[in-house]
Amino acid sequence: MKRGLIFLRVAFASAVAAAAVFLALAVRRGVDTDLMSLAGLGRDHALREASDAVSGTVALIFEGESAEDVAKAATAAVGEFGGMIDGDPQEVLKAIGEHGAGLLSDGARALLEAGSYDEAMKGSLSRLFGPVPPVVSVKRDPFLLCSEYVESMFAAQTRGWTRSGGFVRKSHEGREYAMLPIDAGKVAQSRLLELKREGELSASRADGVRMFCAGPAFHTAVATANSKKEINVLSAVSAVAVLLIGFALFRSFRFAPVLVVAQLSAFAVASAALFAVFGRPHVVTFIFGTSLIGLSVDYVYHALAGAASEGSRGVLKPLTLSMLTTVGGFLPLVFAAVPAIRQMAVFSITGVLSVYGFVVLFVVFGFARSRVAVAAPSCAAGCANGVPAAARGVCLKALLLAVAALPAVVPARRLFTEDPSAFYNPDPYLKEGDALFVRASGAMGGRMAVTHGANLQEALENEERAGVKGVSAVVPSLKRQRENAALKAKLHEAKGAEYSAATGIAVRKFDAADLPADAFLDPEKIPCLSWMAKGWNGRCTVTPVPEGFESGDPAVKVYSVRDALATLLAGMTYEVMKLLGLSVIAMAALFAALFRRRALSYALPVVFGFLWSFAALVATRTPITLFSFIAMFAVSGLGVDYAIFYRSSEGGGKCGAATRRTVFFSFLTSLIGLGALAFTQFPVTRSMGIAFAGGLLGAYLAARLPFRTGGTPVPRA
Amino acid sequence: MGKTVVGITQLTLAALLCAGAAKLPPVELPDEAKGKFVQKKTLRDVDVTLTSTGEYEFAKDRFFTFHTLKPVESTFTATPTNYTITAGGKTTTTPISVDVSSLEKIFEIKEVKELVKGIHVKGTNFPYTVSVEYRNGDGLEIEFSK
Repeated sequence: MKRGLIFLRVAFASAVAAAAVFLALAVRRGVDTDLMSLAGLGRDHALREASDAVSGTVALIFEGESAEDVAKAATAAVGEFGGMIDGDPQEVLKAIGEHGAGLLSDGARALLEAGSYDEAMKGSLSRLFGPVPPVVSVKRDPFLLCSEYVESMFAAQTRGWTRSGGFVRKSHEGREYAMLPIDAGKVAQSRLLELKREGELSASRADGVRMFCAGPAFHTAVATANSKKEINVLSAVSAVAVLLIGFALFRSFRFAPVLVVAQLSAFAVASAALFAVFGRPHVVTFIFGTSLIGLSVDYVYHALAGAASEGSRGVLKPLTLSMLTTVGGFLPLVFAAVPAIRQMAVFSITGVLSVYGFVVLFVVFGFARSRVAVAAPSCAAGCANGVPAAARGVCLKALLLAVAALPAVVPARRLFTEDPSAFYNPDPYLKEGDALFVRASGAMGGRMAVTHGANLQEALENEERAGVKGVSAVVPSLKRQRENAALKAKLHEAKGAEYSAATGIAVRKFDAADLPADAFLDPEKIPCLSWMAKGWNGRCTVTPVPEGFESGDPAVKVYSVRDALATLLAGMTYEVMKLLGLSVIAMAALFAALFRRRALSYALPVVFGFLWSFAALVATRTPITLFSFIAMFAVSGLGVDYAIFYRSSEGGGKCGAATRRTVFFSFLTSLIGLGALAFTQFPVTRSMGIAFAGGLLGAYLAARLPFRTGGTPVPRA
Repeated sequence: MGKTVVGITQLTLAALLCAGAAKLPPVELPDEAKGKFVQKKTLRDVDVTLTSTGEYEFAKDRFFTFHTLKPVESTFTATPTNYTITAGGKTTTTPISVDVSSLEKIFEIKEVKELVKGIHVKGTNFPYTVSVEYRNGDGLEIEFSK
């Protein structure tokens, strides 16, 4: 027995050490901070692509009264981040000339397709005799079709803005704007935060030019910084609360080292499991998990208090039952489609298992129990306060039912939401920047066309077929270029001689069929033109499309990112509710099998935990989202714990009083640890904190309801 | 003492610079002008010089319109936010910032750096000639008259 215990202890310690080493290595991968991935956009690949495309770019927008001052501020930003044209413009124009045999503007193509050669030639002559110089050698491009293509390409790229000194600018409703799009991947998160601060301070600039930051990367940077701050604050608050409450329970700090080791080992094991299973877990999981690890306090308190007063066997049974019901409560979440929910489930289950392993091996059957004991019960929690039990029961029932009825009185239906804005409360300054971007750029309402292709050329062909003005509006597909070359050849044949006579420029015979492959523009093969294919990510192109644009093409999916996200979240909420229902049914069956007639006394804390969670959300007008339901999973697990330990205490005597007292202090610790989430900025964790606070209070009070059939020992686990 | 020497030197330099500036011909073009032009466009690649004539209209910082009448009609209009070409009944707008603060500045194309090698102005009043030298060897010479 002793050897077996030593072996298990060594095995446990080795596993924790291995987890810690793995965690130290894996943490270098970083955590996922993308807000969209929180909702698991990986399920919908096209939506994921659209989201990534939106996330890939940020913009600095300068606004002011004086065009000159606005341009000056934008020019300074161009100095730091570079302008919009990549590469040497001369080199770019030279490359377009050398590989431009198949380049035609939409207008020129329409004319040549219609066979309007007279009109096409007249247009070329007008250009030739006008003041604008040809940007491509006239020898190669006598009809100036490439020059016209370059002009149309500029228009396709800037979409209503004017290119100016490396940025774009426009006047809108009497205000001057300059915008500099920047590749988000090239700017460190710390610099994004600095830019935000500079932007906020720009309100007091002497020249009246304000700088705004727009784009999801800014939101991600701010959310990450806030999350880190909140993790630190929550951890500190939890630690202080744990120490104070623990001292009140044990009248000494001897419990602290045990608790610290239990929590550290649980955090190492749970985090290592997250990195091992998910590669890059989401930062929100850690916010939730930091508080959830606080649940381990329950196990340590009960193990220390129970082992000292009731002996190893006495405390092992309720501990094991508690662990099983908590793990059982979280287990359905492992099968959720939403990655963040799966991550929270894996984190909670492995954390709870680790704490259970530690307290059983090192506390219940260990040395710590002899040194720590629960202080003599006071009337704070475990006693009847001189009030008759029947009267207490009636008051408690009335209170439980009154609060539980709150959602029925207040119209809670309106609080149920899948609106993405309920999941994220943007920083006011960034929100202003985004709104300005939409207003000034006349953005297309967030509709995106995602065009897939096995390669760039296929995607370009698909865009052209579906009429999507994406990458193909800047660089046509090679197939389209060959068609264009054939159209050009017809123009040369029909009007070459006449054109030569009018201009003195020799027009060479243009044989489209004989053109070599390098006569055409393939941005994947010409380094200085690679920026042309910027919208191609290796799988698809993502293009903003106007309202009303639809495509029946199977390669093209048109999305309103916001609507698609809301639909996705609605589906996920339904899924989580289904899992919660399944969990409740499984738990009810387990209670019936284990506790028979007493099953109701174990089920009531879970039921009231749910009802009070709803009541708390309704009372605080907090939107009820799928994450509120996730909090209820934790509430159900803890509610069962309270019931198990409370029922186990009903044997009476000093031991019973000590257990009830321990339950009360555990509840208090969890309430503070998890309820602290209600004070976070992130709506997801805030909503969870409120649900936790209400739910835990309801569950604890329901666990205290007196039952006539009390006093029987806890059944076998 | 040292400060005084530096101050005198600075004043002398400033005076010399001012004197230099004073020697340049003063530009006496009005903020608004219209008249006729003769344009000679030289295309080095094909060794051809194309001559065209027409009418222009200029309003400082607002627009510049170049209406070519012969040999082929077309209209080029530059504004601070774009330039448009109407040729063969078709209008193309290019969203590039154009400096329309003076007749010669219009030909600077800042967005495509080094496309223009140099701009030379002849005359202090009308007739007023602007010569543009492009990096690829092409050239443009326009004589504006009232």
